Amino acid sequence: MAKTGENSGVKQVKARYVTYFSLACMIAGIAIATWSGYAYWQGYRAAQPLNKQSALHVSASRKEKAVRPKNGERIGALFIPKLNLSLPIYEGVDEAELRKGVGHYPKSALPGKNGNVVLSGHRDTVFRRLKGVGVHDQLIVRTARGEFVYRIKKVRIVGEDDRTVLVEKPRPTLTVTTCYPFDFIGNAKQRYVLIAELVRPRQRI
Amino acid sequence: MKQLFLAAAFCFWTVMVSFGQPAAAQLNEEQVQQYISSFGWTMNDLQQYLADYDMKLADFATLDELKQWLGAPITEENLNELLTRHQLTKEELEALLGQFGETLQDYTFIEDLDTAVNFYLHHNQEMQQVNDMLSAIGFTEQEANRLFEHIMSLNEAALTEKLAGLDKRIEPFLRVEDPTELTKQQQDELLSVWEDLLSALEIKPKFYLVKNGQKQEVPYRNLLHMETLGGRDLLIEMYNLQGDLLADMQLSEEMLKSGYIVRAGESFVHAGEIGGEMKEKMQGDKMPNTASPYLSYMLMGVALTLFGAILYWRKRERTAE
Repeated sequence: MAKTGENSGVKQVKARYVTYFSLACMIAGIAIATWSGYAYWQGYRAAQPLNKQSALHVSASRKEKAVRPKNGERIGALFIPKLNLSLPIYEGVDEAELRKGVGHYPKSALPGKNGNVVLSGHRDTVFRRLKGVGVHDQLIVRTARGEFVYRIKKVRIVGEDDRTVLVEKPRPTLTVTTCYPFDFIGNAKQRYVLIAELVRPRQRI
Repeated sequence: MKQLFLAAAFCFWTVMVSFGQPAAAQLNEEQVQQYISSFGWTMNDLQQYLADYDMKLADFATLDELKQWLGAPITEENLNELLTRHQLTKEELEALLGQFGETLQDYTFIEDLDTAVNFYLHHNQEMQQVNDMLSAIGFTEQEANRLFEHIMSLNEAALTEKLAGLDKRIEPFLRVEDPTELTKQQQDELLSVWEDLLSALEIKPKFYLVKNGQKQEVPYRNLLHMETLGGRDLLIEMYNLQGDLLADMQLSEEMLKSGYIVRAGESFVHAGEIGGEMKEKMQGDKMPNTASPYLSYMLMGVALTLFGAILYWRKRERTAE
């Protein structure tokens, strides 16, 4: 009699632990799903149709000074006319910036300047339709310094460790990178790269 | 009636002027077609190329004008001439373009190719310069590469200013005719320039006295009070802040007394300065990680919730039984 009582006591304690454990799983699961869902939605909604684009918020001081923008600062917008898309550009390519929109690689040139401007973004949020653009399509960057029209010259699919993409260029260039393949769950091991050149009168050096 | 006639005449004249002029200046499309097909282009290729420069075919009055603007198509002959001029082989040219993600096929006109080659060669020269300076001090190629990579990895915003300051401090020593005749004060200054240089470059030195392959570590303080090395060599090992060996240099007593230490210091400063400048540029950097984890996380979260829920309901059912 005493033995069964002890046994059921142990069982009760065990049952309680299982209940706690399952509740903990549910709470943690909901928290993770909500948080990552929010993070995903942030990037997803950053992609706006062209006509609905909000006016660019750039501080007045930025216009006067030619200093490097701070990390996380909004520096402009990327327009893709072919996809009827407007995307915000933030300085920096850390997760904090890529979550909100397109990131500008800090060591690369600023839009409109000589050199290579590098913009990166997530393939499943801001650039989810990027495979719809190709050679000769326009990419337009608007910053406080003006609006710059680039035309795509080349589309490359390279490995994630390729070291020939983030390089200096003789002509003003815009390089857009994202992960590839586009519909792939998990860590995609390739990169989809668009190389576009600034449309401007010829200047041969 | 007269008025109507005048109006009609005016209209006719306007139409003549506005239509007549461009017609006279239009270039012969057939000729253009013939010309561009000689280097394998279609009319669409030409229009797209012109659009890259915000131009239209109508902007050109004659074929010669168009030819002039486009430049010379790449031929075997002018390509060879370009290779000779830059002292490259065709394989080296392909490798150079490949380093920047391009191929020879990306270019149609020799002028465009020349611009790119000039730019890329100059870019690589800067890197070569740093390595040359470091090997002139006596570092091996491997050591020079490691030091260069170390300098490129430094995260010091004021590095360039610091090095410029050191450059100024080392300058008077370059004018000293007999380096063996430095005063005590000058020697101390030279040492402190070296100390500051290594600390600016985030290099930690370790000092050893070496004789017949036997090395003995000496603290820096003791070294300062030594009048002579006593026939031994001074070995300096350079470590980064993580404690990895980057390079070493072995100096004899004669080298220490000669102008070597001054020249080495100067080369080191310049290598650091160029390295600091190049740090601002992209050197075939690694691409940012654009893999978005959120969708997978979301799925994981949902799975975890379901798992918890199933466990919970099954437990409840069992206790109810």
